[in-house]
Amino acid sequence: MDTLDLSELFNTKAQAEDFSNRLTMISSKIFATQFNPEAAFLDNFGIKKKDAFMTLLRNNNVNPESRLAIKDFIEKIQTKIANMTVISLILAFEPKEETLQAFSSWFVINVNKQVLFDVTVDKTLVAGAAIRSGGKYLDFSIRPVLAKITSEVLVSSGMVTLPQK
Amino acid sequence: MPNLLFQVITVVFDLVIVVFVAFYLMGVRNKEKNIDKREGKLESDYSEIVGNGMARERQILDNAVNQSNQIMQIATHQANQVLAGAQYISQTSKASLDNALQRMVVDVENVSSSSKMALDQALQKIVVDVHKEAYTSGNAFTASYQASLKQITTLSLSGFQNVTSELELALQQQIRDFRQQLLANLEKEIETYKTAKMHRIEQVSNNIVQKTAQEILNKSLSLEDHQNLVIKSLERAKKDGLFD
Repeated sequence: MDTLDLSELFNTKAQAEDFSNRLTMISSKIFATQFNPEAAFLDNFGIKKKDAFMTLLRNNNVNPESRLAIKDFIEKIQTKIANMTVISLILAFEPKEETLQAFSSWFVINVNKQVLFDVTVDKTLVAGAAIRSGGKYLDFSIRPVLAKITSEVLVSSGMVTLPQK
Repeated sequence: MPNLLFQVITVVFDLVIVVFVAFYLMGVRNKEKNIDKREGKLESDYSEIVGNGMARERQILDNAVNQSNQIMQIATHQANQVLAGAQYISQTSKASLDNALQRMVVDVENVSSSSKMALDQALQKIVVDVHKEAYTSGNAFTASYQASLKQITTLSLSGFQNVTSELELALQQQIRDFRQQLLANLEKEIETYKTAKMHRIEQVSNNIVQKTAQEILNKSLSLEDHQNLVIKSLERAKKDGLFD
């Protein structure tokens, strides 16, 4: 399994692109005289993600005082972002950050890789999800099941008749 | 010596030139005097001629005025004579005209009384004749009109009966056609339309029920339920090999 777990920093494709752009900005100023890594991460990511990033540096044995080591680590992260698999998730509800985190963790545990989500909301799905990945699309929502059940109920109650084939 | 001779010749020559110039100037002076004299004479002649012309003109104008006065007097006199003559003629003519008119009035009155009687008689006769003629013509016209009306009524009635019977036959034929063809087609079209409408209504009802059910179910599920169902979907996707 990949040791570089970025699921606490971002989960969606849009978040990953934003994170990568901010890293590029930090990297461009990294050798400036007044550069302070911790302050730069705090300004760009907020306190929660700054702490997560500093933890990530420590877990990957990167010296936070070494600007060169930080720059190399940033490049490594950006390379990983560029190569991550994107999964299109069509959901029936608006997911919270924690929910996306849970889905991301599911992928890390069950598929042994971190993925990026491209989330779309379609309330007609009712519940469950439709998933598009690698050019395939499968609908695992309960919309088709519900449609079948309601049609059967309506036909059996005599409210509607089945169309003639 | 020769020098002195030359000086003498020069003096003589100068004297000759001076004399010549003096004579020339005198000639010019005489010519100028002659010209002045001529100019004075021309001026006096011009004044005389202009004076004579003015006098003649004045005389001609006086003569013309006198002549016009004379003509006006003669014309006035003649006009007065003509007016006097005309007044005389007018008075005599008026008297003659009055006499003639009085005679004419008397004659007309005489003729009028005799003519009136004759005219009354003639008119009475005409009225009687016209009355008789009108009565005769009226009777004849009424009889003729009644006969014509009777004939036309008979003809129209028979024509109308023919048309009515033809119309009745055509209507019966059309009703038969309508029953046999059009009504059957119409019934078929109505049945098709009814089926299509019913099908559409059923579709709409189905959609409404499904959408309502979706909406209710979607809202009745908690976030945790949604999350669990998505996880189940992910597990099914994994089983189907979507993430391989």
